[in-house]
Amino acid sequence: MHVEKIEIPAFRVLRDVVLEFGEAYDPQIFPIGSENGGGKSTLLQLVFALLHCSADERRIPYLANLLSSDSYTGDEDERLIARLTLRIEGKSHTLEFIELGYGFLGRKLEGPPRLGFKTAAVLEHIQAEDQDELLKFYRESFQNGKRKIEISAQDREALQEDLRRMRGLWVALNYHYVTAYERSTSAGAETRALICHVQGQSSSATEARLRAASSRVFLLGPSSQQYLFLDMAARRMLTTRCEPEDEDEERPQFEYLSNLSDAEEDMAGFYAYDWLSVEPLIRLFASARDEDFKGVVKTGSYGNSYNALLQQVNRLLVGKEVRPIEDLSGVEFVISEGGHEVVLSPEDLSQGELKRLMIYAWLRANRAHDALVLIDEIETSFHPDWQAGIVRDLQEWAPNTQFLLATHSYEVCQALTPRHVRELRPKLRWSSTTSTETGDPEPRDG
Amino acid sequence: MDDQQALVAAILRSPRIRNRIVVLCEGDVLAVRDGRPPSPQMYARLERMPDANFYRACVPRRWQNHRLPCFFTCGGRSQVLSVFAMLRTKHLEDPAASYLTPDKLYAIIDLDLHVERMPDGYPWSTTEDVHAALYSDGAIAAAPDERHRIWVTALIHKEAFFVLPGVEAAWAHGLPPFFRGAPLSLRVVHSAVSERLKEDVELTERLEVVVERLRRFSGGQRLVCSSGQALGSSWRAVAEHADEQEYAEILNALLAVAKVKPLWSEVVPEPKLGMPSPDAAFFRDQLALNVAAHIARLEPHEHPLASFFDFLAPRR
Ligand SMILES: Nc1ncnc2c1ncn2[C@@H]1O[C@H](COP(=O)(O)OP(=O)(O)OP(=O)(O)O)[C@@H](O)[C@H]1O
Ligand SMILES: [Mg+2]
Repeated sequence: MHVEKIEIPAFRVLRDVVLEFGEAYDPQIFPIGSENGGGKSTLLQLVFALLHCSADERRIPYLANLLSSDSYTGDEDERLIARLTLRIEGKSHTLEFIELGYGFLGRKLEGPPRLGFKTAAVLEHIQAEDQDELLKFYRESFQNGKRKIEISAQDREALQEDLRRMRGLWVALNYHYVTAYERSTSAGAETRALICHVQGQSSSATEARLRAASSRVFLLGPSSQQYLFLDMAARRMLTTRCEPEDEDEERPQFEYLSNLSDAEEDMAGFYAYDWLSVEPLIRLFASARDEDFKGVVKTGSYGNSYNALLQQVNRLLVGKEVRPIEDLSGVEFVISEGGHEVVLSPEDLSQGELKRLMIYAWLRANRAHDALVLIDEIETSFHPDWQAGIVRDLQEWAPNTQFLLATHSYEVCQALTPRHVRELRPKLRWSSTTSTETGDPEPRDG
Repeated sequence: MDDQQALVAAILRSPRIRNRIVVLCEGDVLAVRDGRPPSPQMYARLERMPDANFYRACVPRRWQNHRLPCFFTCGGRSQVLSVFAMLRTKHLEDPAASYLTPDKLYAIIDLDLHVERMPDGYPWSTTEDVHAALYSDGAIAAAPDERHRIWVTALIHKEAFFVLPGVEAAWAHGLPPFFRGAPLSLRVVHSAVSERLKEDVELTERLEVVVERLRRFSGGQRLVCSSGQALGSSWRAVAEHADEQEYAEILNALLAVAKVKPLWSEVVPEPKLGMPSPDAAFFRDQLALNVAAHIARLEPHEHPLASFFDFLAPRR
């Protein structure tokens, strides 16, 4: 799976983004440049979260967090967050991710509904075809302030009818409901719903698309940066200062990292490449060993995966050799100094060495093949020589995979043609006059 | 200060070249940047890929973990030669103000048909002499003289490397290039290169150089060098019945004197409908980089550029 086109009209700092990555480019490796704050990280995280999280219950909260971080002030009922054209087995599929406002369903219906409702919340139940939940929700939305309103038999009937009509409309629209989330708007915090739509496809076909896409998209980035898919409380910790009086307290940054590590567990496609851990490498050696063992069972002789891997890893290292510990609980690195062996542990590697090795190991361990891999700040802690070499590295480590590389490095670009490089141009924020008064924030009365 | 002096000063002051091989080559001089570090955005706006990127991409993969050479484009061939000379002079005037290691300064330029004079005091006096000293039959001499610092290409210019047999491996994974309405076949290009000889005015003007040069190619003996026309048709006549070995020999001879550049510029992406196709010049840049990546994986004896870097290896 590759991405052919990314369109983002307005999301956080991003404005009118249209990036194309045609099939004709060889290799499919695209550096993306911009000024600081130009939106590279935002772009990678948005694309990743939409594709990786939309079809997985456990990951939905991350997507919701990211969508909540937007503060768009327009008040459309339907607003395009992103249009992603994917290329899967030679065919193009255009996925539209659309945010629906409160009034969407009501306005879409022919003739007003008899009762009012919040689109986002209704959708959650429509999708599940859960009538009881919906009724419960209706009852709650009729609890206007402290005044409790009994639902009359007439209302109940009206409700059933509204629901029937809405369901009809919903089926006709072929929208796949993804999640509801709250975000700040000009009228305060409001609930919105995200749907995904593929022209000419049923909602369940769209869901199947999303499910397939989720295992073919990866995001790699540094641990010490803001990830919009973490919740706000966690994100604040990254920039919070330790109060001098509570010396015993852990720094809030540790808490951030622990949140990030949880995110890694929930989102299999996400990896912070600068954890000082060689876990992906160990995983890789273990699976190579298993593969060789499977060979014994099948053909009676050991395969060569383990030794081939050993050789490959050694080629990546400068003047060192890797030596997995026998029970594969870890690895050591060996250098020879004046004829003597000196054993180094992973923490003795330089930051750049470790990063390069871990990106290699992680891509291999996750079989990032025919995939879309997004890497943020690819060049940090790499000497210019390694920056220049990383494009060829990636090509060799994961052929057939498409890479989008957020970068400030000219060296990275030189291994490709100038036309491979994409630029996020700064746009005037909130360029057109923003009208925010005419929202429809509250449940309407029928 | 003229552009060339500015370039020389910029190279000498560039900390990246410290204790590194510097290779000067042909190609547009990148606009001297107004003090800002170069960015991806700047690269994206270049109209053409700098030629140095081709040579940079040819650096053997084995070098990855060693110090890579620094490449600088200096303009045409004569500019490369004068920048080469100026760098040494300026460095010696004030070594403390320069990051250059003169022993690690090299250049590589196209052979071309026009014979260029080497800088004063250089052990060989012309590009033709350098070529004769370095290569025989298009391959590097067994042990090239240590004093070779300015290299010329084994064939007429670097584009000749884009059409050597075996090069198809470079685009096996990507989109196949098209030439004159059909998927590119190397033999068709070779034949077109030979056809074009009859229109090559420069070749007619420098027939003596051509005759001399072809003497250094085993395949040259089988060709008639009385005119461009005769050369072309004799080449095709031999090619028609040649076995693989013979073909390789006469191809080297052809590509030592016949220009490939004009035909290479006819190479385009497959005109597939409904597919966004990049413009052709960029497509060729992409092919050139893929050819370079292919060369970077070859053994020294397999390619003259691989042997150039093999020569540099102990000096890095
Ligand atoms: N709610 C918001 N709406 C719009 N813009 C925002 C919002 N919140 C933050 N921003 C701005 O978005 C920018 C963040 O962009 P991002 O981190 O994606 O840039 P980047 O290109 O990755 O930058 P760098 O090169 O420094 O990593 C910052 O300038 C930030 O101030
Ligand atoms: Mg960033």
